Amino acid sequence: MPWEWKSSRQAGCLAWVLFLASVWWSPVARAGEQATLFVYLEVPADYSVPTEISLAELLLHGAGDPVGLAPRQRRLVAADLAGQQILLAVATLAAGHYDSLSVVLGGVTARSGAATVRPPVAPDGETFPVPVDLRRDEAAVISLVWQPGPVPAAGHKYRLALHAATRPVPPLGALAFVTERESGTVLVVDRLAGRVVDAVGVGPEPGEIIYSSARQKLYVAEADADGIGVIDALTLRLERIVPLSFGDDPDRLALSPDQRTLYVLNPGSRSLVALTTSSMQEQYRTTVGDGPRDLALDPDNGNVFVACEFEGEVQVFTPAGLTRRSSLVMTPTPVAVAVAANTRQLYIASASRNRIQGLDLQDGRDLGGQTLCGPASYLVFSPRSRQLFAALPSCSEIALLRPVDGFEFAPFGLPSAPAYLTFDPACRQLLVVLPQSATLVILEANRGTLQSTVELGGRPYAVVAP
Amino acid sequence: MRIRIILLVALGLVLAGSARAVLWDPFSGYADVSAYQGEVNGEGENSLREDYNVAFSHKLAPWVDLRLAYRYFKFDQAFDLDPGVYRLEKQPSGELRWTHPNFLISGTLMRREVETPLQGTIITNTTQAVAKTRSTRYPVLELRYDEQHSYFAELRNERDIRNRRLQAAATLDREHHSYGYTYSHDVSDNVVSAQSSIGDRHLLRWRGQGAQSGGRLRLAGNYNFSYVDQKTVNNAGGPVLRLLPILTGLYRQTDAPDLVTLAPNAGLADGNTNDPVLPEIDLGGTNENHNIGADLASIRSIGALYIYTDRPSGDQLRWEVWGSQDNLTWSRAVPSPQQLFNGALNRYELSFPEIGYRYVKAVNSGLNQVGRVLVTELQVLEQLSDHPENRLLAASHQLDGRVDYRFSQKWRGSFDLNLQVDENPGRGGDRRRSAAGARLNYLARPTLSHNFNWQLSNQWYESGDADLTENVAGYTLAWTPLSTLRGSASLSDRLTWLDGQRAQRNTGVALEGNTDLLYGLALGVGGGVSWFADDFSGLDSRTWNLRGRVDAALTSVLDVSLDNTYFESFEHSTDEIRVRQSYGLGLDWRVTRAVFVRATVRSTREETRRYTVDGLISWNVLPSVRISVQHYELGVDQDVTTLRQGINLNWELSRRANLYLRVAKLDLSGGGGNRTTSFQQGLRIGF
Repeated sequence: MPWEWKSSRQAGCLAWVLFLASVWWSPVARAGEQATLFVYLEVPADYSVPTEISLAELLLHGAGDPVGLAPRQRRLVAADLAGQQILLAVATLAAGHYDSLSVVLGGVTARSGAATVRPPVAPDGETFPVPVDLRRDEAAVISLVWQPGPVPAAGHKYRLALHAATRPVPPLGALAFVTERESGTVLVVDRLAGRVVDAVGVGPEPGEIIYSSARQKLYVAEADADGIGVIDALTLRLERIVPLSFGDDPDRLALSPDQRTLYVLNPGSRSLVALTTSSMQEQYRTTVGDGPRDLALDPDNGNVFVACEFEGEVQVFTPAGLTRRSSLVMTPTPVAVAVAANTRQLYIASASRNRIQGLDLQDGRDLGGQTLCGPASYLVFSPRSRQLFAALPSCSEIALLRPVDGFEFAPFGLPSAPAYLTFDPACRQLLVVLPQSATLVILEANRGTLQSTVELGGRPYAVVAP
Repeated sequence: MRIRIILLVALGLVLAGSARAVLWDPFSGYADVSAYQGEVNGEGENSLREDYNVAFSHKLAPWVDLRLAYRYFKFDQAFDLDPGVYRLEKQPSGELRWTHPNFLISGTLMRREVETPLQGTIITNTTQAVAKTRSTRYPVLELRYDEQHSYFAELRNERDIRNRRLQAAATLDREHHSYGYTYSHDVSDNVVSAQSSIGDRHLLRWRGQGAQSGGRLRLAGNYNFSYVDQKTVNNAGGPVLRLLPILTGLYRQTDAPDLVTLAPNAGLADGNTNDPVLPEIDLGGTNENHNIGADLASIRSIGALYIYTDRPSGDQLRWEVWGSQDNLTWSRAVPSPQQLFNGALNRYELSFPEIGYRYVKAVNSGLNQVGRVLVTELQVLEQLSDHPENRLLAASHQLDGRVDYRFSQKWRGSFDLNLQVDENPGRGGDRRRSAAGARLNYLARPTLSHNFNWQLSNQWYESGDADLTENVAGYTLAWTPLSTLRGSASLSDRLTWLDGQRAQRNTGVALEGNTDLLYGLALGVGGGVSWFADDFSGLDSRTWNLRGRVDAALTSVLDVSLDNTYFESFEHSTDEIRVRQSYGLGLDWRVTRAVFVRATVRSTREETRRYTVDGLISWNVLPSVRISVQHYELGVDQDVTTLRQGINLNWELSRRANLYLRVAKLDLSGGGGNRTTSFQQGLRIGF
């Protein structure tokens, strides 16, 4: 039955009902509606005068009373911040329009030639225009640029040279997206410049995020909402939250090789779900073993591997129907799995052992294991260097392995425990989430050289680079 | 008329989106309408997709929430030549949730009706109930009931699957220890397989960790116990069968089935019983000698084969079952299996006395009275019991311990011990496994470190498979003499014994170095040699590889990367040399602040040459208008097996409404698939 006038007429009628309804109910923000605001500060690398300021208070002005923002750092030294971006404040505010920000300084120390001067500051602070619209459950970023300027003449007050950055969001290819669990947002990072440029509110406790290049969508597992958030990668808007079942607590995601199916791993209900990406309809649902932690796909035949920690096995499901094909009992407490696409090798990390085990998917051969300095929490394979990268939280490092040959290469040391890692599409950058220090570090993938550290706040969880 | 209808829908949605409205608080949802004009292998195809979702949320009491939702999805397709098809889905659901600070109780009902012209209506009813405590001061208790009932509205007596599960769990987390217990009771009634099963399962776990001596000594332990009691009954009175895992599907059409190597065919074992495998396997008419098989990874007991088709097929077709241990020489295992065509499930069911092979295949002969029948899937089944009832009792114990000690700033060591006992896991009798490992790290200087590691693991089977022992020793030297220079050397030796006899040895050495030659120009080189000897098969090979990588920042906005890997393997017994070479070229060009170009070309040459080309241009034309152009190409030898090209334009009409246009080309003809060109336009609004 080709499509008919009747169903299209229904569609048209429904659209008009939506229109009338939306006109009838006013667009003003209601009491109790909240949104999240991130305030970032950066100092250009070519700042002119070495200066140190002490922040006393930040006040955001809108239609109602000013809202105080608690600064995360009160002492700001220009020399330490040169060329960097820091997170000045994160706040959950009433939704609405805000137009300016007042900065009250506690004091200033600047250098004038060889002398150190402490000019007086305005006691009521200074106000800067920062127009921002905060909508219900959404998030926004204000990026401030501080250019420490000349020291005022004696007897004159210090003027803070601050303005809101007006740079547009870079094109998609230069971005990375990080889920942050505390504020329930996806932070948009310019991975080439190492800056946060935007934020998308998705709801509490977002989990893994994944990108579909065929549809140009980002999919986010939303544990609290028991659903999958769909973000348009071009407009950076949350389009919808596709509901799953209550108690699913979705956490991990994977796309089929043709990107027509999205697999969702739900630790809450111990289930694996397949959704079609064209309609986001649930196609198949199956029960998995106890303690599901991670999933990976065989790019050749689409088989889905699910690491079940308490079950002590990696379960294998067919892509269509999600029929359980077999269980791999190779290493106890499996928590992470990865497939090397070009050689079809499966790697399994164990939580209770400092070991990664390998399996050849072509002939079912056990490839042996590799002992590490601690248990791995996440695995990712680089097709460029043909190395397996393993996040080792207890050692605060990334191990580089070639498990088939039993080789371990010099690891990448990190300032704190890594939890999640991924590559950019060309495998030139390695992006690592460090939840303890609430940062994303971007490393050069060959040598592990630090390219940038991006401050995120809260509890960052996962990252993807389209 | 059709254009007018689409315009009508579009206008309504644009206006609704432009209103920037947040609808009446309790309601939320979205509407998504898109039209598609395409051409599949030269044949025109048009479709209209409508997707609507409305949810109503209401707080009945301070802690009690009600949520009702209705989802309507319709996908209509019209073709130039064939009659059109459609898929209609309706999904009402309701949920009542009581979220008390100390506990949470919830009930969910969901119904899903999927209607297609081919299959009729499939109905799935889902019921869930959950009760859970929330205070972490005491053990967290959870009781959960799930029921899923799927059936065909028109063929309920033939296709009806009902799964029920009751689960009770208790977890307790303390500072350094966590404890958990889970009980689950599963009941499954499956009219399709004519089998019912009842299972009980207990799972007990403990995990602990602690630090002593100011963090220098770290201890960790883990214990898991599981017990399973499962009874399976064949309601039709035949033997109890169980689906066997297939490593890969195999296929070839040949009239010499005794000496042939079948080629891998992933579609035969992808679980999809509806869509034909590619390339097509047509069993219709006089199409004989299709060798449809599977690799089971190891020798397994086989009692039945199911071959699924896309439509009802003839019962005059005859089948033979063949087996092999090497996918080259085949023997006719069952000349005349008992066979029937199950019209309700569209599958040939071949059953026979147990046979033991790693590779198995079915070969057809004779005339099929149906002219065209395509194969969709192959299933291989193991005979668990020749009675209509089978009971499995299995238990597993697993204990892991780890000690990590920092002797000084320079020395650090760790030791692991793992034990596992699986009683009657289902095959090969009891199984015991143990592993011990040690690791020693010496930081000679801040720029130089040595790592030693050793691992010994054993696996014993009561019967069946051979006992396995593995001993692995490794060493890594990491050296960073300059901030711009970094290198490492690795040695590894792995020895394997089967039933006490040395089976394999794998020894290797690898070197790797990375340096910044100039500002913005990074060079990485690496190489390695390894020796492999298999004492059982007499295989003796040497492998060496070389790798090189260059990353160049040509300008502040243009980065180029190159890499090359050469891999050569020499087999002594046959004097055979195998070469694998791969190249990669990458380019990242930030043309302006609004335009980004990325291109990646990767090629691998072994027995076949395989390459991928991946390109992306993303351009933010205006803050509300963004364009992206993509090209993806996967080729094998001279054929382009996958070609995907697309241009996407997204115009943000308001914060909640956007218009999208997409021109796409998907060409899978090189791999036996379709060639599709399409134009899609749509509007989306959320509220």
